[in-house]
Amino acid sequence: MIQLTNVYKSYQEQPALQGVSLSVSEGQCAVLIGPSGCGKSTLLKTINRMVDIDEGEVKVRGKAVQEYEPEELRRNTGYCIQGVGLFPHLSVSENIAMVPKLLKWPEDKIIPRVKLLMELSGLPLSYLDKKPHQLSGGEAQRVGVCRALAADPPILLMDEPFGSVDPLNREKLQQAFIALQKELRKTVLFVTHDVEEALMVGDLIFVMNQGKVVAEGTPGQLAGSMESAFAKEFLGKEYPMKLLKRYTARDLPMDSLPKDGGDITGSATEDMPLSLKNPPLTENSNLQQVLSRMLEENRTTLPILREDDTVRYITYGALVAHLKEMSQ
Amino acid sequence: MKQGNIKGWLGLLFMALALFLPIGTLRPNRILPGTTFHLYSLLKEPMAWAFVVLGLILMAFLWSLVIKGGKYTPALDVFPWILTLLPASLLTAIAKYETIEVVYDPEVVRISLSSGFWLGLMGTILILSTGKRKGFLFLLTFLFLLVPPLLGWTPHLALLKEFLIIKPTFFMELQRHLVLALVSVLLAILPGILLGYGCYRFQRGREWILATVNFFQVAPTLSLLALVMIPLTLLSQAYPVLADWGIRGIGFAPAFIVLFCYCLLPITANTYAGFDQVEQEVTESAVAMGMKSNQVFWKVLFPLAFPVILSGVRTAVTQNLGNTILAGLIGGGGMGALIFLGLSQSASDLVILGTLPVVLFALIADEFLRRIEITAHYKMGGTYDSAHQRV
Amino acid sequence: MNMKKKWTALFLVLLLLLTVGCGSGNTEAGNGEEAAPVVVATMLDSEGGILGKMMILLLEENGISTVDKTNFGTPDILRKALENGEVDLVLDYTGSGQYYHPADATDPTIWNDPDAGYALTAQLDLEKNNIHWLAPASANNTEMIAVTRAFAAENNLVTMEDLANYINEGGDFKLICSASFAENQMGLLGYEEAYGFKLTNQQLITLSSGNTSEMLKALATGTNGVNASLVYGTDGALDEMNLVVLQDPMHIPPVYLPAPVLRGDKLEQYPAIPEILAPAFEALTLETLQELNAKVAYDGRDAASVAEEFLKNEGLLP
Repeated sequence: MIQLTNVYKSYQEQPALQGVSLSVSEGQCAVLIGPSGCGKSTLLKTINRMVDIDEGEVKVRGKAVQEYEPEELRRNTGYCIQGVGLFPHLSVSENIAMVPKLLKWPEDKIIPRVKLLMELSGLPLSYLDKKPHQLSGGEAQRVGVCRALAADPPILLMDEPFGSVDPLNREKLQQAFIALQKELRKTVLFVTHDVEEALMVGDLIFVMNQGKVVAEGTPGQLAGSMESAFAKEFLGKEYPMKLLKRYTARDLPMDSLPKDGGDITGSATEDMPLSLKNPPLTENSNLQQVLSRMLEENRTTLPILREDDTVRYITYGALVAHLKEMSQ
Repeated sequence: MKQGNIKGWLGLLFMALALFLPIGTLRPNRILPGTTFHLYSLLKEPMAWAFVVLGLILMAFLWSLVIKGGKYTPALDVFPWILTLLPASLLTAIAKYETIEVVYDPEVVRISLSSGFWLGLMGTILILSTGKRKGFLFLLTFLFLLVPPLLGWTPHLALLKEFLIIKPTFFMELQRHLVLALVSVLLAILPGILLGYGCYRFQRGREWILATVNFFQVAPTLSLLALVMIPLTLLSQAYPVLADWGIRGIGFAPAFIVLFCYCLLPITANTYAGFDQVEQEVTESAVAMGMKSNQVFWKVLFPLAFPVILSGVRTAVTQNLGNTILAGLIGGGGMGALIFLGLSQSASDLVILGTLPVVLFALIADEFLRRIEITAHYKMGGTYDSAHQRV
Repeated sequence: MNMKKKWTALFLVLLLLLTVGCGSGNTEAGNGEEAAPVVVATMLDSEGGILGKMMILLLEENGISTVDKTNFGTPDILRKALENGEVDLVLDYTGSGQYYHPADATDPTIWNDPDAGYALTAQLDLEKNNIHWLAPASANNTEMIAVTRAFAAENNLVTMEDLANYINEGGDFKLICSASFAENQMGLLGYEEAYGFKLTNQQLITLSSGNTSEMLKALATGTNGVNASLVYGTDGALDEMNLVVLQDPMHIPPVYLPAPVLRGDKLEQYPAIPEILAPAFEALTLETLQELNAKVAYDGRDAASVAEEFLKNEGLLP
């Protein structure tokens, strides 16, 4: 879907991109991560020609971006920035409906689309007529995402979209985005400097430094050995621990009976009582919570309460095996 | 209410001064300055007593406001309405002043209004402005002021006498004044906005544009008038067709040109500021959505800059209404014709007669445009106060 | 919606003002093809108002349509307007010829002779600008010096010579006049030379305009210690203001007779104008004009009704 080959870009004498090559397939969420000034925002902007490259090739759907009319390219590319940039003089619904209106969609197509997007991003319909200055930072960014997706573009570009939101709301926004992406399966290019955000949100991560891609891979793969010392340092020593947050109990194989290995109080029977001290974990609990609980209760098998109220068991071994699998 | 308190006290101070300063001038003829008289000499007039009583009531109310800390009584609502009658009754009282020492020719004698009256009027306005519905109350005060002269209760009032002399030309000149002032602003809006947009887009041109429009404001208007008249005269002599259209070296044309240039600065500078204050993220989003340049301008930049531009137009209108007075010097008519005629004949009341409409219209235009501006700010998602703090 | 309504209202009001204003502007520009009206303009003083209205009334009575621009502007603006055709008929003074044609007016004594001065000005203007000077009034609106009656009585002042003696003996003196009079060889300087006195700067207050009502007001009230003022021969109400003019037997300043001045092209269109205006100007003696001026400047009556009254009394108007 998106392909960059040997892209170079300089501002006056300052080089921003020095030979970047990467490729993103359809439906993937690729994250560009790196320190400030590494060129990730510039790279993002070459996709919708907000920035024009000096050398190299940028292809969208097999066609070089120069071959598209800039306006046509941009109308088919969603764009979310940190400050959101909602139009202060228009209501929420008018903001969201902007690109469809530019594309001259009929009114009866626009209204349901706006409502659908708001539902998907968790905004109450009562917000339709509100003005941007009445929204909180998090709400504004949700509107920004809706606006970017309004005309159903195949590609979504996001430049540190959750950067100006407080940590609690940021996590909520990340979850909302993940849910949205699951539903819509857009091709996303996501820029951030936050490692945790990257591994939560991304299917594919590109680590950049000084205008070059120094490491790439799935979040799991980046936990393994790496050539780039910089990437290793940037991701940090606690990277594997952080990675645990990305996966949930659902990703692990579950047994109906506790397997051997570890201390278990009582005999192994089907109706083994759940631990009464702490509330049981669910399928949605992430692996960091699972591991913490295992350490806390000093056992290598944990009961999981499923949605249908049945109990299954996961083991420490399965957890480790899963991680190993992800890092291939 | 804090700010209101200051206004209230100031108004009260002015009205107190009105008691002590000369309130009117009795003039035996049009030229001589005459003798002044004070409020206490009016006290044989019943109208003057009305004023004194009203004044005392006013003092009592304001005092109770301050001492009791603004406790509400129904009478407080009625009071401003009564206050609107005050200037009119004072006017009537003054105009009925009679002197018993010397006999004057009733046709020729006239009574001018002095500082005491004007301060009393200002004080009334200030006190009224602390309450609700001030726009309506101001209007009411003004209308009441017109009633005594219209009903013939003030035959010796100098302003009235001057008005009656010049009545046929008064309204014609007033209309000319308004046309000259307003049309020049109207026509300057489009170029002003274009120049402002130019400042916003082209950084190199910005200094040149701003310096040029600033020059027209800074240079003395009278000199500009003189400068413009010379080429216009030559032009109209070389191409007589221009003269048929009314473009000559004197009169309407040079005044119009100078006024037009003069109001370019507030409009241009405000347009530029208006565009500049649009947040960068907003314009970036607009471009990234695939809007063409003109779409970005019409859908985003212009609506958001509009309230600020309107503020510039408001400034230009009030400035122009005042500046148009100078057109009277070069045969362009307007209220300036009255003012300069009065100056040359040393008839100060004619000068006042010419000045008052200009002041009045400037105040009305300012208030009218200000209200539209507030609505515009609100619609564009901001507030008037926040914008004026920033800009 | 509310804002749109306000906008349309404002727009309509402005449009209305514009059309009416431009409409009235157009009629003044004289856009008639058949018989273009005569644009009459005079200076910014009471005499300009009276004589201007007088000319208009006479022309209208005789079927010539006019455009009223009395009290148009300062003298130089007025002259310029006449020269470039913006106005057609003005009131001017014979002595002004010295300013309009300085190169030709080499002999200053001409200007003291009423007939010679008039003849020269008329001739020069006709030759150079096709501007015609019509029959003047006999009222000499020349520049003189006035003092209060009390002051004159106190110091036995009747002529300029008496004044010269008074000044030379160190008497307290302050004159208020226009700048052009103070610097003029045929004005104050001429007086000084002829009668043998010299005023110091402290004894002089000069104003930029030549309008005497301010000066006379200052003299009457004694502002700033003024005890003498420039006055024009036809200034009214000198009597009521208790002022008296000092006689000038040597006739120093030039003679200024008011006369109608008409552009040649308008004269061709309306050849009857000189005869229409002549009898009125003939009837304007110095005393008559003083009386008329007093009524406007002093009594505050309007110029049009004063002019009408005068014409009716002279039988020039029914």
